[in-house]
Amino acid sequence: MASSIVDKSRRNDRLAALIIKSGGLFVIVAVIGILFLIAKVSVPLFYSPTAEKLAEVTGDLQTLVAENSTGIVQTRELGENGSIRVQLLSGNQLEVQRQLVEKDVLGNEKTTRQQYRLNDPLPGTITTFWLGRKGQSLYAGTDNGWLMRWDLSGDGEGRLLDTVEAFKDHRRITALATVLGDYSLAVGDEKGQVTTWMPVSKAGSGENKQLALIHQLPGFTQPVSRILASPRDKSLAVFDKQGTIKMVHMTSERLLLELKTGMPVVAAAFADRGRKLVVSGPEGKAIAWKLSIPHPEVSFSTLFGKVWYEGYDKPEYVWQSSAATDDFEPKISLMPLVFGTFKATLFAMLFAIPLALMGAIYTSQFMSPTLKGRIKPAVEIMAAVPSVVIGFLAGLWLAPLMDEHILALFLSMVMVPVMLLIAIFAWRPLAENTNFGRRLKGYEFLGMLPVILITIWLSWKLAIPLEASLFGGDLKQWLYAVLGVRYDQRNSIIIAIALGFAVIPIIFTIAEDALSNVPRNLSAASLALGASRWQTAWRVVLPSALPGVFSAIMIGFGRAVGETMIVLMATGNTPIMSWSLFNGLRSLSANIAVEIPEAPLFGTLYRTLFLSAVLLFMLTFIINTAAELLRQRFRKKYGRY
Amino acid sequence: MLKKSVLALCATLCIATAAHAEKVKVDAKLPAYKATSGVSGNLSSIGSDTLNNLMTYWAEGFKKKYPNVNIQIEGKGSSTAPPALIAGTAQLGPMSRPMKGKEIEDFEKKYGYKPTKIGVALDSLAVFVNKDNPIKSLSLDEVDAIFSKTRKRGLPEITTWQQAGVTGSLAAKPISLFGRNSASGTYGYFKEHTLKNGDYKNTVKEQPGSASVVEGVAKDIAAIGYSGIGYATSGVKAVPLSDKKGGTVFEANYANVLSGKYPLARMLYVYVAKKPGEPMPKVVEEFLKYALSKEGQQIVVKDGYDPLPAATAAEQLKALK
Repeated sequence: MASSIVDKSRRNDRLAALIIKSGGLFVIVAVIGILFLIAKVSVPLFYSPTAEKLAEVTGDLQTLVAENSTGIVQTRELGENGSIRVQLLSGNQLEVQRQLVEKDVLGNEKTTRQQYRLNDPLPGTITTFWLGRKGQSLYAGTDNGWLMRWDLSGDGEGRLLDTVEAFKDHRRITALATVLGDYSLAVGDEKGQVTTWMPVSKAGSGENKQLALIHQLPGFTQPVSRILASPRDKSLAVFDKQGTIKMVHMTSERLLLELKTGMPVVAAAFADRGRKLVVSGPEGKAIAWKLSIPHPEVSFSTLFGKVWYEGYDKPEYVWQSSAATDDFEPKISLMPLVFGTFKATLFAMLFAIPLALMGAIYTSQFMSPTLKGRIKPAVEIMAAVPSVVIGFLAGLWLAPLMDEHILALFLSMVMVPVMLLIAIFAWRPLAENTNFGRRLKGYEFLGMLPVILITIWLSWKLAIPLEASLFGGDLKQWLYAVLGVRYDQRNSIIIAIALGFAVIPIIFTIAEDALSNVPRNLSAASLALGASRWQTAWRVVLPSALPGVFSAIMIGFGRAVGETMIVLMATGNTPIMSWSLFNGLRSLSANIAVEIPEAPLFGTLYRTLFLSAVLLFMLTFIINTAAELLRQRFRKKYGRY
Repeated sequence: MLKKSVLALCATLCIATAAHAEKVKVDAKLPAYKATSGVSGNLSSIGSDTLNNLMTYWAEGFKKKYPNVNIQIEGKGSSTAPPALIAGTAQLGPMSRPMKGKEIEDFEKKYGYKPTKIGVALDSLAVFVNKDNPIKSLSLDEVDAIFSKTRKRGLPEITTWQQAGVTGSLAAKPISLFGRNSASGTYGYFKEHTLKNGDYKNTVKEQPGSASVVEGVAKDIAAIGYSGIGYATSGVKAVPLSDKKGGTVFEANYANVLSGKYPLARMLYVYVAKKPGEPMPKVVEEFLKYALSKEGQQIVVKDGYDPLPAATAAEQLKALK
């Protein structure tokens, strides 16, 4: 009889253990599965490009390379507005011919013709020149390493903007072409180097911009004979004399493909919007490739390094992923996002840990049990507040409020602890010597509430005259004028408070449980030996519960790292890299939420966002694993509660 | 989760702005919608977030006329429309920007003809400042100098209100920037037309919805932001704009949008796959007719956008034939 009950309960135990084990296993499999699925989407970013040689070159591809351009005349059709033509004359002189078509409201066309020669002094003999695709800029390279740039966009004659000694060793410049977007100039020289240049404002010269070397691309050992810019993205096809072709990308400085033709190339063109490359050699022999280069702009350096983008004055970490036009240079540095994630988490934890832990220690060790029975569920309800609500309140209620009372906040951060200490010292004789004081044991914090409230009110009242006398009536203005610090309404203080609000209940609950679970006999023994309540709490209970408290912090940390809605709504999502308390941030998780809806399916941005998800996953995984290892050590060292 | 909250936010604000937008009158010459028989089946729309509310309202009205029609609306963003049209998962592709060259090419590759673009409503982007900001007008050149770090329009950087021509207590304050998230068509449009394809400053606070932009500006005296005019509230004012510095400024009102004088007006589109010379499925055709009718354009006004004038609507209808 008895043995059958034992058997039954053993069976049940085994069953329960099995269910729990399989549940745990399922969770692990699910988590790994999720990681696998996310990683699967992002991995194609790093596939190497391929080129497939077409079996036959069709007629329409043939016509693209039929004209053997001599290189001394370049013409650009400007749609309905006419055309522009530049010719290199035999006397080392450039001639511009422009035909402008203007339409008035009634549809009458008026054509003006313009023809002039550029008479600016030249530093050498022009070896090659390039007329920008929009016909607005003209570049020329000389046999002794100088670059020149003219502006042809105005109504008058072309204006020389730049004469730059590009190469100190006076090498011959052999090929020029503008990269898609007409902002950067790719330069090939006789040493086989391929570089890109763009106008950059030089320090001290005001708004005047001068061509500067930006990217050094993979080149050859032989002279570059031709550069062809892709109409699809910032890629270039560069050719050497023997017919080797290298596909390179400007932003990522990657060598995408290397193709061998085995013959000198006399003409080359992209077809099918940059998806096909066709070249022709002497005697009209043509070869064509179908290119498959899905993500040329992605490389380790563009994702994690500083890159000098078009229009910027120096290399920077930038996240600015999309635009409405095709000739945009995507900026996909993940660094500002990783930085933002850490900044938000750090500030939130700085705010939350002291409050939550102190609260947990007080609640578990000093508070009266009846009150504790009310307080703890109340704090747990805090955890149930949806993060959207917290984010919304933080962004639209707290931020403007803080904006007005920022000095009061700082003041109260100093005054509240001071006033609390004063109140405690005033209270002590009363607590021990009066009946009222003894009866209030375990309810002391109720007495603290008015002190805190009065102090906050006081600092709010004090802040106004203080701001007027010390900071000229406006602290934010003073910060900006004197320290050069910008105060932004959506700043890291707001994040710290809002995110802290979300994390506090988690840390509090788990830490409080761990502290309460320390057996009563331990603290009783300590008290019996004459230790005070505080000594018992600090020296006996806290060390025993340290592993639990530590897990509480780590779980809170994990929540803060991954939190999306609060960060999304309460910050400005500004991808800034600065530790300043007074500006915002953009976190990995918020960035995914903001950008995934319009990221073209399986495009570079889409996959990069998945990559950032993998990164976020790895971050939390590493942090949690490290935390668990640390917790195990604590457990061995300090106790088991 | 995000979508829902943003939608909820939009919904509350749309109700608030309805009264404001009601001032715009629908062109009386627009044809009233006449229901025909034999319209049934499924209709699916995938595309713009901006047009999502509008499409939903139209779908509601349309379903009242034809209870047998089943309509599904998905608004994840303009970039989702072309793939959906190409894959055939949607018959309607609402977009807040015209298709890019690459998208048209992909479409053509699948169908052998170009997609048909139907303008369904007008939208004007407004540059908003706080209602207590004394500024009278701005030029797009100055707006570029405020928002952009590459400043392709060429003006030197503007960081404080003083540099933008404001005097008084606001003058020395640094300008606080609000904008849309990079996924939205509004972000792209503003970038293309105001920033001349330059880059936004890092300090532009990107908000997930137009309503949050307006709320942010309303709560911050030193703020400036851009979004659709339909989202204006009493806490902000739309700054009259000129294109070039020193040019004539125009307010973002319906008359200036129609005359093309306001520099930041745009058309909102629905793309469909229509084989030239052949009629479209009846349900698609009737839906677009409904959207371009008087009733449909009244819904446009209700949603805070600008309706098409009768002549433009008739021209768009011609493309359906």
